Amino acid sequence: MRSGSVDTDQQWPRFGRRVAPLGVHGVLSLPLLTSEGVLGAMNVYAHERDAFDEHAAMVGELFAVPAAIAVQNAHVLAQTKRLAAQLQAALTNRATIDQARGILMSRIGCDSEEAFARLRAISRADNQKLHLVAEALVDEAVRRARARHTAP
Amino acid sequence: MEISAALASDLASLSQALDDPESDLETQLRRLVADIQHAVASYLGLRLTITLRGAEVTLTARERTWSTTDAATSLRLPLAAISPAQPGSHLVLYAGTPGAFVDLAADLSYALALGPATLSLDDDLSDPVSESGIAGLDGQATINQALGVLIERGYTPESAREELSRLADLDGGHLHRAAESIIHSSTYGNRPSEIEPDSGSPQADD
Repeated sequence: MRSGSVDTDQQWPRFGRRVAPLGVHGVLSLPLLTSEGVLGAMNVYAHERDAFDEHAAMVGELFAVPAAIAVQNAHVLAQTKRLAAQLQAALTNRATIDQARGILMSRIGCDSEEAFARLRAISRADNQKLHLVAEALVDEAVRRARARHTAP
Repeated sequence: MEISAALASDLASLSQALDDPESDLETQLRRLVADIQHAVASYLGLRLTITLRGAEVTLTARERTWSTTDAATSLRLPLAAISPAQPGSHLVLYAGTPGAFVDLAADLSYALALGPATLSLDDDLSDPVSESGIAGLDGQATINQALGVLIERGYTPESAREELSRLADLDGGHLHRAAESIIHSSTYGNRPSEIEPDSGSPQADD
């Protein structure tokens, strides 16, 4: 899609009136196409009126192809970061929760399921996240253990 | 993507540990697979390995089409390149068309300013994903519970790991079995032979 002069183009009356005072007059908008459909758009702006002709549109379409691939790949990178971070956090929290289960199992002689149930009960009663309850329990047990090692 | 009941259950269990209703690992995994499928038409599966304190947990997810199509290419991304991950954590992707990951590898290298040897293409074809699931979870749970038992008995975290390793060495290196023995002793009161931390050794860890 091309517009030679957005301030007078009836397709975007509000957008044109706002950007024209900023010096934007020419617009070339190209879809980023993939096999799955339209991924987004690449918009090119110019100060000059009628800056984009058929040739410019053709060149833009050539750029839009690798641009669409780059956007897709950026999605893969962003989502990989998200999943890896959440999985790592979940494993770290779970390790703490399992250590807290072990502490309770040793302290009161219960099995793993009962220890977990007690942790959940404390979490609900104190309105605190389970891994924070576990962290506090582990930290307290570690403090006592370290005090035993360093006591005269 | 194949999501077995066991994989869904493990993902749900791990999501609970995040304690955040907005965070659901199965949803995040499905989104990642969808994004990869949009970028790589012949995508077949992935293996995501997280290393924590030397122990590995590996999430694998494969497409149903992998049973009838051989993996022709792979891409390995060390997670340390994109997040504060421990060495050994990595993502491996598999696809059925040779060269399918070339564009993705190029864009990742550019976006992350990676050196030429950081990403590996086609180095993991001899180690494909056999089925969807999460490996290493149960083992880690047992080991961490055993560490908790030892900490409650007065071991520091560091000496607890040493004690667990020592007991495993006495049992031919079976760390998981040693951990189970410690847990069993906490429940039924029969402690395996061990050195009590307040009877002279081990030394303080601070």
